[in-house]
Amino acid sequence: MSNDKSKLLEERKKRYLTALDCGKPDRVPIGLTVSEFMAKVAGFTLQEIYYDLDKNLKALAKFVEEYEVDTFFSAPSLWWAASHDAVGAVYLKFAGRELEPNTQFQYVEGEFMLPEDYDAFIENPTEWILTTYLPRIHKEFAEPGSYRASVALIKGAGARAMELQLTQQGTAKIMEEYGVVPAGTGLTKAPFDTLGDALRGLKGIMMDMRKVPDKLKAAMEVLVPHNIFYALATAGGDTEFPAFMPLHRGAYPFLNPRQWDEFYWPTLKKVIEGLWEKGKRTYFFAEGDWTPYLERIAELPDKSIVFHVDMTDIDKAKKILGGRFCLKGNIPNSLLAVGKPEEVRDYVKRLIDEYAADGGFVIDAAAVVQGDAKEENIRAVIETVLLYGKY
Amino acid sequence: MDNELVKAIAELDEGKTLYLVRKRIEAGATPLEIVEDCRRGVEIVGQNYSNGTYFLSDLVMSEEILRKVMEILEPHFPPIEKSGGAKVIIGTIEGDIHDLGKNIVAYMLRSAGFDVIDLGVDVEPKAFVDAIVKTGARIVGISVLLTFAIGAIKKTVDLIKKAGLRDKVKIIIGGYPVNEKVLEYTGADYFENDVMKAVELVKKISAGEA
Repeated sequence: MSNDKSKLLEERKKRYLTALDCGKPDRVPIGLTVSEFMAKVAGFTLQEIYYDLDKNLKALAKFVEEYEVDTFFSAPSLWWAASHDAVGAVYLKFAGRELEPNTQFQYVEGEFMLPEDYDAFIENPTEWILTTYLPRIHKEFAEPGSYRASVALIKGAGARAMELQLTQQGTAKIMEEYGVVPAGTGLTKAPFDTLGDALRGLKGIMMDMRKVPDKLKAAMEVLVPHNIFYALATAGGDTEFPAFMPLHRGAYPFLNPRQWDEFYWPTLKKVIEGLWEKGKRTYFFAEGDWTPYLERIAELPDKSIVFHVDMTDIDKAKKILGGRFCLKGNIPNSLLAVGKPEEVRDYVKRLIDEYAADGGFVIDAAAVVQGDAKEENIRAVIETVLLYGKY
Repeated sequence: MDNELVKAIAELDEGKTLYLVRKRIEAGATPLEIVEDCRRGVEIVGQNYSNGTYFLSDLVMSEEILRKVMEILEPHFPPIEKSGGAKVIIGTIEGDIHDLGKNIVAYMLRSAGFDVIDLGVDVEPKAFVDAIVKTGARIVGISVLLTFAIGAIKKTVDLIKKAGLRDKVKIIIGGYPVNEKVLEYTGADYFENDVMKAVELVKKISAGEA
């Protein structure tokens, strides 16, 4: 690593981590959570970044080279589509296969876990996933133990190992070459979301709260240590940066407040506290509106989360969480997509003046930035922070 | 009217609702009477959602209960194809496959007596135009969750214009990313993020008040 870049890396790391600790760094950090937008910057189609790991990493490199951000989220594609093709995933659709070459990937929700699966899941989730769930969501595993399924399992596991290794090496190199730090390391979920996203599905889990509440609760308890472990394992043991936790079904108005208190919050809190005990902060990526739950979220230990503001009332977030937890956000993605640079500048300036003035704030979009954002608007964000964001 | 049934639905008591429906069929009630009580129950569910007592999970539950009621009633009467109410075309825009919001709006509109033509998800702009031509509907609802799909809404509005149908229909856009700015960009007539407000808006448009 050149001296310049290593100095830059240290500077940015200090800036970001100071803000996460609710302090005032030299200026407001820029932590844009950007995904498919990077493909556009690098001139690749979405098909190319989904299928070609090199191009996926090149797009990230191009982005951090051209845009002066302090942190990066990940390479633009979270998936290596080829590995999903190898095992015949039924829950994902990719550009170039089912979709047009420049179309965002799609997740097809289904009730892949049935209410009668709860007992086996609670007994041994990993075994249930391997023997029952994987065959349901992958055409190639449809007959476990068959020649075809065994070959697919080898291919899938091999591809995943390859993908993780290349991505890890690739991002480490990008950190060195461009002096940019990761916004987070590792990934985990709220136990309710683990079940509600890809296992029971939205409708399934909503029924379960009324029909099999005890089983749902038992399954979530089983997931608590698993989700803590998963965050640390996927972070390679790192505790310097927060674990990314995309939060879904807990947003208002999915659950009524009783359900939120009874089903969503207890195990989520345990995961966050469990991680914090191990020195790992959680990047609470609160997609949607979380305003009604801010008081409950404030029960968490100081600094144990970075609270991402999407549609949550930012004034209330600042009032209830500010000073104890770093806030991150919240430039509307529609503004980045259809607004003018002047409007973006005004918005960012207001964020800096009203919410970042006493530290503990990171500038970001409200949600993950996809290909619809205009390049001039992303530049406007950065220019505004560089101009007005000094403390 | 069976107040007990209305109440059971309003309180999202699945067991009691289904029990009462079966009991009333045995007692000789017509399916239409039962459907009317269900509609009243769903109306209360909608009010409870509007005033913040009920949440999305409660709407999903009421939809599930209604689906089961219809399963019981189906053998007793030929399903009504046309409700006789004003036609509303609804669909999730091309490039987006999220259907929760769209389904709930469609369900609440049907409960309110509208004839909903649901085009499904990932609906291409031309399909909206074709549906307008085919059904003569005057109200079009376009649902969107992903911001990058907003461009396809603009395309749809432009295509409706090009087909000479713009003056004939009111276009409502709904979903997470819509706001004044998106409305302006797409050229639609109204935007709404709240399901019950959307139903009220459709009622107003249909009555010529909006």
